[in-house]
Amino acid sequence: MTPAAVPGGRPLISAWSALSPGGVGRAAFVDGLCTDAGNDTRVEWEWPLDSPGRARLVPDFDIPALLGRKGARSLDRLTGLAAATVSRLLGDDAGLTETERVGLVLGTTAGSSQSAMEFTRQGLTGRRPYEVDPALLPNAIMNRAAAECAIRHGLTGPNTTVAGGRVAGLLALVQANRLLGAGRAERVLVGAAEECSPARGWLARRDGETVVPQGEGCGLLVLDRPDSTVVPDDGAGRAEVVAMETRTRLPDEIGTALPECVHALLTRTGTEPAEVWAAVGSGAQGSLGLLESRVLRGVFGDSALARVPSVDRFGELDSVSSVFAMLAAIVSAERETPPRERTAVICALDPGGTAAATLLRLSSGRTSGHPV
Amino acid sequence: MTFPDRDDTGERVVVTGMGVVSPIASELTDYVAGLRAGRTGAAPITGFDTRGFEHPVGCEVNGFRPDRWIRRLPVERLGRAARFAVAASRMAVLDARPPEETLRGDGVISVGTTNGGGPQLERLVETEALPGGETRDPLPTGTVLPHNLATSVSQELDLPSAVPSVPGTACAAGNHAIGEGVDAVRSGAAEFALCGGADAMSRKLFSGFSRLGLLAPDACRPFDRDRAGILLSEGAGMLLLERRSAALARGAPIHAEVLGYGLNCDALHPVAPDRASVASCMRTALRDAGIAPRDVDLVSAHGTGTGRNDVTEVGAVLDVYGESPPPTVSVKSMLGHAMGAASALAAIACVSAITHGFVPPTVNHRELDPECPIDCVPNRAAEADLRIVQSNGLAFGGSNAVVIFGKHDGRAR
Repeated sequence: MTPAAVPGGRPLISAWSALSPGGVGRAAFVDGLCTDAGNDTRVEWEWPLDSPGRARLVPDFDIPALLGRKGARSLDRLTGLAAATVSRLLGDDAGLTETERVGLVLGTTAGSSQSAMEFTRQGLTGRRPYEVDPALLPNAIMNRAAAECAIRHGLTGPNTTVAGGRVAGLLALVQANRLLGAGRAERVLVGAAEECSPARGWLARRDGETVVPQGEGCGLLVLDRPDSTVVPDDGAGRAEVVAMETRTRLPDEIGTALPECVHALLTRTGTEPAEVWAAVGSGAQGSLGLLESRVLRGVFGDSALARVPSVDRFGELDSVSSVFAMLAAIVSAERETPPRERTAVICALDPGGTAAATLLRLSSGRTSGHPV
Repeated sequence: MTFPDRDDTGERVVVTGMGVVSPIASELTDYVAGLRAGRTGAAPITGFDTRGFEHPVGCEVNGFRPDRWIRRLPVERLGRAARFAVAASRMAVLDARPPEETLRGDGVISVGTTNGGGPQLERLVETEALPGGETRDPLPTGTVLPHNLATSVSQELDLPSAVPSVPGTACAAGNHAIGEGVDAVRSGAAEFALCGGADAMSRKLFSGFSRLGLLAPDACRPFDRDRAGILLSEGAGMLLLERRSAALARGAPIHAEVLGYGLNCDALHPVAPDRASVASCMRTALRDAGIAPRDVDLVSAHGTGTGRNDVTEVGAVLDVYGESPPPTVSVKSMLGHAMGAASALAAIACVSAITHGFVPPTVNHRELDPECPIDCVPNRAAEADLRIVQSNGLAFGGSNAVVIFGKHDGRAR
């Protein structure tokens, strides 16, 4: 759908931050994306069952160090990743100061499956079924991470968690556009978070998929009305959100859903494939990844596919994959010369049968900070 | 920061279809009759092994036949909450009968939930954690994913272009979903919105609420001096929203208008609500609806029946409405607390109250808590000509959502 018009033009991504397997913060994401992100870490997990796995973890991720000791004990990894990313936006990465009535839309697969499973297990294996740790109950509910971000950082605008599997990041962007367009918030932090955990690995293996290294992280974009952005223009790239599209078919029809989705997006925006500077997939693994590349190559050609590094170097990112793909597009465009407006299509697909795509108009902060 | 006033150039939004699966009824007509009669769904829980719990009472959906409503997807591949969501969605579409081309076009499917596929995840944990558990045969792993709630609706009803959204905003999720539908239809981004919420009975949540002392032993008594907490519940409520102009043009039955809504976040505490913030959310909703507090005839409270919620929420109602607020009822006294479905089921109760001219009662009531000085319409429904009704949804994490419904002023049903 086309985002509802907001005063002054289309919604604008004016700043961002991320915790990624490249490290903590924006610069580390760029480094991780542009160099090889390093090797998998072999992780020995105790539960569920024996879940050794390979993972691409966020290096140096230490909740008390990043967020302080207060309340750190009850934070699960997912919540810590999200809250620390908001800290970065309020700090060096974007320098946001105002948090009153700022909204947050956080995409997720299912919250922290690890926390939900551990909490369930406490109630099954304790002496009595209600002998569970009450402080951990909120972690077993999907909106914990978004709620904690609001509590820690005073974000009093709409607080939304969107479950969407591998397309969650793009579905979150739909929500953020809507909230901004309807005047529910004047600024929205939007993205997704995913944690590496034994539970996630265990669930993935039960599905019978090829075991690929889990990736993790949180990416958050600052979505503004174009006339109200207050983020200092530091030369970082910006992106205008032109339109979004989704298609849902049966799971075995995902190969139809993706091309339908991409073509509908181009039609809606009156865009010819040749006008698209970069086509960016969600770095899906296995057959899903092959499908993604084949469809994008078929529509946009090899050169459009090669312009932005794939986020698959960070492992399987699930809900955060499309957010990192958008960040990768923004980062790549700001390094291009000469600086000019460029069009990117970012897409993602979920094995449940949904494909999603967005068309972004990228510009370097150096030339046109406030495209209209 | 400043906010634009309500955009009066936007389209007005109406409810043309509703579908419900609940502990008191699994069809709309029977649901309305149940609300009017003050029926309750409280009974011993059968959905999970309750050994070791002191008061294993809840409100479960009984006599629900998914095969009546689910035809295209294999029912055995859907979790319980997804079955509820798909069935309620089909009911809503059958009620509204929108044109085929509308359903194939831009739309929103928004199914709010607290726990999503959580019950299936609990089954999976049992296979690992319980002796002999490996012989259990849980549903496929994919059914634990909450976004199935929306994608299953899309797949079953063939709504390929609708955005499949699952707001996981805990116990206010149903109202978040309705708000999403309102924005999408009002702005013209969507031709229709199928929105509401769904959840299924959960041992995990029962354990947690039990430990926190939030569960009532026998009955849910909102605003009562002796209230002891919630009864955990389940179900789904789905509403079909369309532009008023489109509904009138095709001569559609119109249940009610959605006048507006409000969202905010306390940003204070993981589980406790905040009076000032809840009041602020109500004011935002009234402003969005373009009405004043004196215009409201009935408040459907979040009304969980816990000590803290009811005092805080009634305090916020008094802050907004003054010393003589409109009647303030809790349908959770009948339905229990269906988590992500709760505010969707309450929304359908509000719309039905407007359409059928009655106030659903707060049942199980014995003596009003002096700290909750409101007319909770105890025990018996009241006949009333309602023009505007407010529906509150509050959630863990301080995420509040309030929706305002109004009588349709054109061709009322």
